[in-house]
Amino acid sequence: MEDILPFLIGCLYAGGIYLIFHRSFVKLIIGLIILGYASNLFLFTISRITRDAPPLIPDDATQLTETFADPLPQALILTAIVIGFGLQAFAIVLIKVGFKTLKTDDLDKTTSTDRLDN
Amino acid sequence: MNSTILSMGIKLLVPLFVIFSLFLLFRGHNAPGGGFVGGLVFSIAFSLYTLNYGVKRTKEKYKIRPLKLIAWGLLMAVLSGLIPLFAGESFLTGLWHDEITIPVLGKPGTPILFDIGVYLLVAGTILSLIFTLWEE
Amino acid sequence: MLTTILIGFLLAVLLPWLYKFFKANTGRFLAVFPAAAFVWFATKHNQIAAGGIVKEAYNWMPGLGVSLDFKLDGLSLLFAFLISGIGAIVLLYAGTYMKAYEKTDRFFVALMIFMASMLGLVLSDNIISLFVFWELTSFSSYFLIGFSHEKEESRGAALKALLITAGGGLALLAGLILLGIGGETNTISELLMRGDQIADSGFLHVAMMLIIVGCFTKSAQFPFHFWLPAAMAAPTPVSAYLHSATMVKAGIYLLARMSPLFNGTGNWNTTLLVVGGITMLMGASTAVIQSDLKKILAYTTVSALGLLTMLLGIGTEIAIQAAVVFILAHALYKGALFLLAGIIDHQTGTRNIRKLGKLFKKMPYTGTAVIIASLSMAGIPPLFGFISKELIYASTIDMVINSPLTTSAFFIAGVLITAAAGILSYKVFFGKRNKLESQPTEAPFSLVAGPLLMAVIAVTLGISSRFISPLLNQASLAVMPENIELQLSLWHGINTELIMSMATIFIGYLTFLFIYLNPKFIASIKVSDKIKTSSVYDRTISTVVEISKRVTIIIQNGNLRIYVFVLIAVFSLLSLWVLKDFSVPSISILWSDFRIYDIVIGLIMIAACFYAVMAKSRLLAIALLGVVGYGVAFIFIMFGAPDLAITQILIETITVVIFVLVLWKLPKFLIFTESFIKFRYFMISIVFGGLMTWIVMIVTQYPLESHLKAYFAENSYLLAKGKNVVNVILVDFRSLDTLGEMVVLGIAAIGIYALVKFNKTGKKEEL
Repeated sequence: MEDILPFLIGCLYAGGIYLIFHRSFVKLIIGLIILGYASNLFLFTISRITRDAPPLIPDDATQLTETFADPLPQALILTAIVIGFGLQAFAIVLIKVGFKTLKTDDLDKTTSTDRLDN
Repeated sequence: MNSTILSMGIKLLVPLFVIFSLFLLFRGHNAPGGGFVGGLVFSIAFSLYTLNYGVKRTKEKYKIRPLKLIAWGLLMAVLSGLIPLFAGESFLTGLWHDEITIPVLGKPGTPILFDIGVYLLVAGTILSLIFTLWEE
Repeated sequence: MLTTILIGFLLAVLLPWLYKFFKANTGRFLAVFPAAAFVWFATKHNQIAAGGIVKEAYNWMPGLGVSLDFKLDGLSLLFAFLISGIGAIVLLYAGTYMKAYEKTDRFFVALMIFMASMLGLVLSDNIISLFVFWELTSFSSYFLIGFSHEKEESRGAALKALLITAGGGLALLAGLILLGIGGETNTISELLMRGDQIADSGFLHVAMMLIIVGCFTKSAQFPFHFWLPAAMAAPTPVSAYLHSATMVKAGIYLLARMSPLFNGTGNWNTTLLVVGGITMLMGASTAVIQSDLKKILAYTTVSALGLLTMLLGIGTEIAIQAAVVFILAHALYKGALFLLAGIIDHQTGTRNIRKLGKLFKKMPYTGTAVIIASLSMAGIPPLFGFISKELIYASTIDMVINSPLTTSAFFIAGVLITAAAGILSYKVFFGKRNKLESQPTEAPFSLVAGPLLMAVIAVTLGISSRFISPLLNQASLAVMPENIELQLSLWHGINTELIMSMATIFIGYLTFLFIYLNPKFIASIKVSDKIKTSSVYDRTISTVVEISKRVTIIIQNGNLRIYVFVLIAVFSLLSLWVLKDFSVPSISILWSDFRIYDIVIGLIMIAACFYAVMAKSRLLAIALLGVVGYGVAFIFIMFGAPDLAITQILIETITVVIFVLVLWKLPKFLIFTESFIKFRYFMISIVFGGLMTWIVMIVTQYPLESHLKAYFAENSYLLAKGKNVVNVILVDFRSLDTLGEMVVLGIAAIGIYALVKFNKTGKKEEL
């Protein structure tokens, strides 16, 4: 798996970005979600992965001694998943409201909402 | 979705999910689980209920106000941080009652208050999202 | 002292509820707070006057040397008396005066915040807490100046005051921190004794200049003075309280507080003397040609602040004493005059002195108070202002060098201020003409009582100044520890100072007569915009706005694709520049570690991702997205992250619910046929994906030394009593981060709620 992960991450990044480049609202949302997966896996992988050793202290011990996965990136990713979800949800709603207001699904036609008219 | 079995099933599942989410919350300090996971499970229970019965009925039956859950969650977390100030420690330092050990929870202390805050906030955030989108 | 300050802030927080309860009596109720604070400070008076000091210390952020240390000495007590005493009067006054305004609860909130922070400022003995209170006063002043926010003028004036004072505040912060580094302590009273150490560190002069800039902006010294006259857009109680008696003196207070450290070093004295002198003369000469009552008072205030700066710059024993005495005298008469100007405005409907006249018979009490306060301002015996003026002359005559120049500057300013006092009292109350449309009546007692009381105090202190002498003596000792004892009295015999005072009054009277008899000539004097520093400010602001507009038009063109492209291109180029030194890592599959389901999972995810990107149907894309998500969860499980796996699976479930709720209402995929452009973006994405793969491979080649990993493993149970280390990090070791993340989530939820609910109907339903 350690050998495949970099390629998997690369694929997810490429797919996410490619979808964001599309002109359709819905593809943009799917792209954002894939980008989220990619980033979480990226963080997880570059902080080194350890197989089958969760950072849980056994009942009869007071410290972790043998091999164990690094808990810090896990804590970071855990909040990242939830926050990423919150922001994706915000993006979904924003796009939906934008769609209703502008009556178009074409991102190239929605430039007026983010430009200074002058 | 007009399946009677599904409707009945969801009705029965909601209390189970809530109890399970509380279990996850309290065991979180010593085993996989915790406020984030517990809050998600809690909100999934009511999301399913909402999908089946609608927001109005969910609110009437369970008296859930997501924005209040968010507010209480933040308040709990901040309170758990303020308590140590009175003991002369700095903000958010954990304090424990050392003598007691409670099953599932372990030693009671301010971090569990913080985790309850996380639980309420996550549940409130997701439910407010679901409710808002449903009413749209 | 902390309790007093906290009660003030608490009242501000509770005000919306208090206001519902007390309604029109809110001002009267709130006045109890400063009145009680005044009484509390009064109980400490004897101790302080005898040379004692009251100290309190609380830890705030001990690791950073930030604490809530409070110290009450002569100087602090003098200011505390002014803040609480005048505060009580202003609140009583505002209770009646503000009835004409709407939403006065907001006004009182800002006023209470100001009062509490101003008290904090003068009592703080720690540079950081002092700075926090300092900024809080700027901040509350912003809201008070901009209280009539529907007026363009008010908003502009508020922003002007905020930009100038907060900009100066930044300089002040830098200066204070440098002092703290140089003196290796953040406690002010200790810093003041470590002058040599700070000088050795080389920070003394830089810190001094930065602090001077901060104080000059706050105390409206030239060339930053223009915000103060503009701030007259605030309701009159604010002008009386913030912009004459207390806040603008914060700069003077800090200069005085720092005097023991800086007096006699470098350019301190020259800078203060010159800038103060310019401010004083400019303020006084602008004051007499104004026609708006409040503008006259504002410019005389500028002049008075210049005078105070100058006295601190002279820095001799008598000058310091004169400054301390003048602070009290000025606060008494100027605060009263502002309040009285408010009454005149309130009763007649105008502040234009060309329209005002013959008011004394109609408004006898107001008139009496104005006359007494003006006499004090003109420095006429037996008022307290006279004692102060005597001391000022004594200090300049006493100067070793530049005595004639400084004395004449004081003389000119004194003459002009005397003339301004004549305009305020004689012109308005006994002037021959009166162009008012309606007949004004005397103001209600609740308005006149406060200023009358201040006027009476000015007389009392003038006649029996020995009551206040011990306190003022201690205040001047705080500014100059080895000062001679201060003894105030009305009569020093016939000496140079008395002759100067009398000459000032006489020539001031002549000047007044000239202004009074030639109103047309005075009205024709216009100050050219070219020499006004405010026009420099206006130009700067409009240039900044123009530049940012142009930049915004260029970089924010509204096209999402271009934003993303720029981000990715810059990121890729920067990483390539770093990565060019690394060799391409070799791919070596360890067959011993080979597991068939790893490969299968990986391939399934890659395939799912590919088809999700290419899918023509939304449903299929979403289903495939789910496959990728569960795959991610599976990877988390395999590599020892059960918490992450559970979270990921739950989030997947909720995402499906969201899609059910939202996406089916959105349109179908649009098919665009620009295959060339499509290909271009496809290539960019492939390059970016490849780059990320490369980065992961290179990074994971090297071993990772993590002290944190070991620390958490060791202490999770022993220190934090939890066996799930991830959870312990979240709720204990790094709980402040988690708290921040919770806030983000809450904001996202509220944002979504607002987006949907306030979009069209404006009708809100309780969630």
